[in-house]
Amino acid sequence: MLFNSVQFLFFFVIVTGLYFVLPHKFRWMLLLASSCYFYMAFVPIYILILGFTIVIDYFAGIMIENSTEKKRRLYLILSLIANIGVLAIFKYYNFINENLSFLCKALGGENPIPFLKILLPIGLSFHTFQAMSYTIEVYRGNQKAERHFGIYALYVMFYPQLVAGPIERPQNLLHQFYEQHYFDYKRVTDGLKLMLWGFFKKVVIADNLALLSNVVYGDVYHYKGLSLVVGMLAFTVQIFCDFSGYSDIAIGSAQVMGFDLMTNFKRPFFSKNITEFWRRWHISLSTWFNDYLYTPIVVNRRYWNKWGVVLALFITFLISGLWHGAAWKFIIYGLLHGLAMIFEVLTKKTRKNWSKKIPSYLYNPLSIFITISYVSFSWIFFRANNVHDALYVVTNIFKGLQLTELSNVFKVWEGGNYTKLTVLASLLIMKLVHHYQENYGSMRAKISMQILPVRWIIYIAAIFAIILLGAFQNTQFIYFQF
Amino acid sequence: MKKFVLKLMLFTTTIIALAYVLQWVIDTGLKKSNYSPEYKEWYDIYESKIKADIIIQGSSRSWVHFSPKALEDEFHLPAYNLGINGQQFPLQKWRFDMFLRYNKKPRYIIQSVDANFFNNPVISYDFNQFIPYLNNEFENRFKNNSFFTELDFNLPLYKYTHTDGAAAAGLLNSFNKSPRSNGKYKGFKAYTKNWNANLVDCFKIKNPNGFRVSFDTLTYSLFTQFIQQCKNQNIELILVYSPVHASLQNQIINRDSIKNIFIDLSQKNNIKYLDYSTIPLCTETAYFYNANHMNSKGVDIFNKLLVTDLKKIIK
Repeated sequence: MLFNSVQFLFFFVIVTGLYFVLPHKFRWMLLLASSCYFYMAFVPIYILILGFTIVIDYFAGIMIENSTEKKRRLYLILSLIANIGVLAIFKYYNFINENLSFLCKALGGENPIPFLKILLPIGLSFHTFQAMSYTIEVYRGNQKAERHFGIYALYVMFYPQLVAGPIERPQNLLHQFYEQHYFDYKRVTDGLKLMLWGFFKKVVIADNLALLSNVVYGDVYHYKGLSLVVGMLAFTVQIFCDFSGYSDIAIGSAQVMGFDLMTNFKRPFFSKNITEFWRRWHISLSTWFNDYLYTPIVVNRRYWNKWGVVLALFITFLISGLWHGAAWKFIIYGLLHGLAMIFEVLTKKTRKNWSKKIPSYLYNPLSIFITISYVSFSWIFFRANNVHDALYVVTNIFKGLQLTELSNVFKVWEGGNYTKLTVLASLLIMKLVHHYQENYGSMRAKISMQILPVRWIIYIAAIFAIILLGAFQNTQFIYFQF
Repeated sequence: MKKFVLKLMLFTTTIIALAYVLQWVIDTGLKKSNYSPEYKEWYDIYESKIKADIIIQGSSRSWVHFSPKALEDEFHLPAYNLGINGQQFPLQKWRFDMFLRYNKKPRYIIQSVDANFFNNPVISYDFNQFIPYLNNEFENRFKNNSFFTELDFNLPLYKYTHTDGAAAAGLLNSFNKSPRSNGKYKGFKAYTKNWNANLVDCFKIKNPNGFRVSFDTLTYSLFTQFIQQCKNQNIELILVYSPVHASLQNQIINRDSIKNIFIDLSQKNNIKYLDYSTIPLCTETAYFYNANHMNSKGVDIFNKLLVTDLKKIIK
């Protein structure tokens, strides 16, 4: 079920209403049943895969807790193999096999291994990583094994963050299912405000820009120069508004019921370098990699000094690229970020010296510009249909202005100048909100301080903006495919 | 929680009430905007702005082929082109009925016809032009058409979600005193574009052995009713088959039998039928911008021929 559908509107109202009406002891059942329904609204049969990993990890957690050191490790490894195995089969099997076929062909042979005709279950990478964090944390002793099967299943399946995160940690989420959440006016309205902001970003900004980026990336060979720049920039803003919009709806809908999910985005377009960018972008994934991959490698290779860090960064971003998708373009995307991070580690002192010499009013905007340009560039590989298309974009992006071509790109907006005005005004609103949040604090708190008519005008304007200025032709969320 | 539920109900009621008001404002603005190139003609119809003795009606072939100016210059009678993009006779008839309701009765109607005239009458093109006019009457007439959903008619603001920019266009034009020009003269516009073979090429790929145009009996029946309606109201109906490029005509297997229907109808009802589908310019790509539509060069020649022939009919 998509968040931006009429179906979800009814689902949300009914589930949230029932949640507050039901006694606390029955609420987990409601949430579990509604989460199952939410997931099965996509492809029902795939709930069995989710069920498989839930059963494995539930028992693995208990067995890890009840065992001695050697066996604990064994159970952890078995649980990780099961989780990664599911990912390998559904996400990476055909990719590996495809590359094997290529190798065999190059060596003059034929690959005897058959391809699988399977669809990737929605959000597989998200809930698998969340399940893995549970067994790892139990193994590390940071989390007690969950004995209540229903609650554990709910930890993996909690509908707001089931298909695209935030990827939660058991320490943050599990205990919340035991706590009784009373109706709290401020919390409920804060959650609703966050959802509204998420819908605005997704429907008004991301989906209008998606029309542009889809045209350009749909057939890149039709375009050169400025048209490709427009496609690239449109996707840069689209992916942020799409994913952060999703996260806001997820966090907001959980908050309405009294759950605190972790923050996933902190205005990444204010980042002055790639390291900072990953502290602000998809935080639940970057901290996951930090906790379970990067830091263990750095600790393991601590005697290599900064080269241990370089190795850790390289491996982490290689895997991060692969996490996004089973294709070379995602590996390149990951490596581009890894290389940038390595560059920043190796030039930390030099850059610090520069920052002292160059005035901050120049250094800071320039750093932000370079960072966002680099990130936008890396997203060419992320968005293009394949590496070949991405390389075409990279090699043709500076070839001329081609203004007539540009008008062909914008033709996709049926509203013409009206849509341009809508998108520009929406981007300005987002920029102002981010500027306020970055410099002064919570926008929601600021709105709450206003008198009722002002608050209502803001909410009503936002609701009408979503309905009237949104694009409803492209409804899928980008990160659902992962 | 009680406080919240009460506020929520009040808030929802406010939203619904405002939605209706906003829809009215946007529709009013859209009607005066150029968001769809068809709005100006709809506006003229509903605001009783058309005072014409000669009405031309048909599909897009009507609005790019028949020049009201050429007719006005020759006959010194006001003319107006009601041609509607991509629509078949049932919707043309609906537009004509609306025209009659709000405007004075014409003396002559030039009905543009072609091989597709009795084809599948489903509305499946250019949703935008209908947005501000989706009222109960329209719903009752076209409710079986899957192009529109019940929500489009009954849920305020929903109809704007199918396309981008419509609401913004409506809001920004809501204070206009008069409608924006759509670049047409009384519903007519000729294009200076050069020949593009895509239409015929696609057609040939889809139908390598030619194509048999379907015949919808309901449309036929509606057309005969229309002929009777014209008779009853003393309106002289003239059927005109404007040029179609030969490359497309040759693909239509049953084109002659469709033409025979027009001949038969004209003889039975004593109405004039003028056929320009076989004149020499139909073989020249220089006079067309695609197989169905002539460019301004072709339109000039066609209108001269038409005016000459109409001299015997229009007094």
